[in-house]
Amino acid sequence: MLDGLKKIIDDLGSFDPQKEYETIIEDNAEIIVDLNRDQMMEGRGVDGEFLRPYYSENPYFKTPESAARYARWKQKITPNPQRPLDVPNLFINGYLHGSLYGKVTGKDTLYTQFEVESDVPFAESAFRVHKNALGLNAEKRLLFAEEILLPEFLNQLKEKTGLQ
Amino acid sequence: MMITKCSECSIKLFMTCLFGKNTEGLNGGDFDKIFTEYIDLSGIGETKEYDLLWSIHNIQSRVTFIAAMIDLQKKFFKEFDMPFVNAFDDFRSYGHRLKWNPEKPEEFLNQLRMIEVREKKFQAELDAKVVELQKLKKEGVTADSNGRADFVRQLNSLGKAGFRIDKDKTDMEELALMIRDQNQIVKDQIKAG
Repeated sequence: MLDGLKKIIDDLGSFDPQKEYETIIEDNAEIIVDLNRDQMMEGRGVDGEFLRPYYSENPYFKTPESAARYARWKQKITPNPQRPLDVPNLFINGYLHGSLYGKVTGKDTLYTQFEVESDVPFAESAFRVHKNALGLNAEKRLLFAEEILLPEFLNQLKEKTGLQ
Repeated sequence: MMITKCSECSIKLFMTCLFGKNTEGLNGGDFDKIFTEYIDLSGIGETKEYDLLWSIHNIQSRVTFIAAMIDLQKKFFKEFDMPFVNAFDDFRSYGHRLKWNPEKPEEFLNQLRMIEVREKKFQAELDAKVVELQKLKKEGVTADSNGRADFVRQLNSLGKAGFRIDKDKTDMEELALMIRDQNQIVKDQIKAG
């Protein structure tokens, strides 16, 4: 019994909040990536602004008409009331969105320690053009914090300390 | 008759030797040997260690909990420029009332600093208990560390628990076994929650 109590005390003494955050974030990486996908479908970037360049600004389109035509088609196949017609969402058949994964980078904050990346060949060029697409904006980070990260952290802390 | 073991030594005589520093009543017997037998039989050494560990556990829980909660609030504030208000009640459980005034955000960080200052006494208490535990493990229970008040208090609590004790007639072997039984009952109750 004494050894058990000693082990509990040792565990308590070595409790590291930052490690707990990282573990919870890692365990819920798919939720973060889903939030990033939702954010892109809403046409929003990590900075909270709309994804840029807009179709009308994108040099890929040779004429304004072709950009407008593409924008209308995108609105038709991926309608979202929060995304204006001219704003991209980087979704055609879901391949790019599906390729996203999360990675804990371990910086000393709640969320910037987490990055979303993709490993498909064309992702690099897609995200080089749409620089603000990857990563959660403040609204999504807050949602994740309040709904997932902190409730889970508090549960684990209370369980470890036996305090309610 | 020379008294050499607990079963031959009354509580009264034991107290005279231990607290009165007078071992004449043993008729040449070795008090250290009787004291060691009492500690072994009663399990007091283990109980003292358990009590200390339990205190350390309780204080360490508080220290860990509050430190983690402050860390959480600081990081949340750094990220969102506001506190995680949902966890304010958890601070209240430890006597700390947090307030949030969006017009004076810096006051929130000051409140966290004040909590850190107020909690330092628990860290000091924890450190002292750890030192006490280390001393106990190194030296064991010594006659010097067994105070008269604690001893009498122990007799009283055994009496309240229903054990019949007569300082003249009850011998130290019987007392040691009563202490062991009572401590086991208490531990079982703790385990049962």
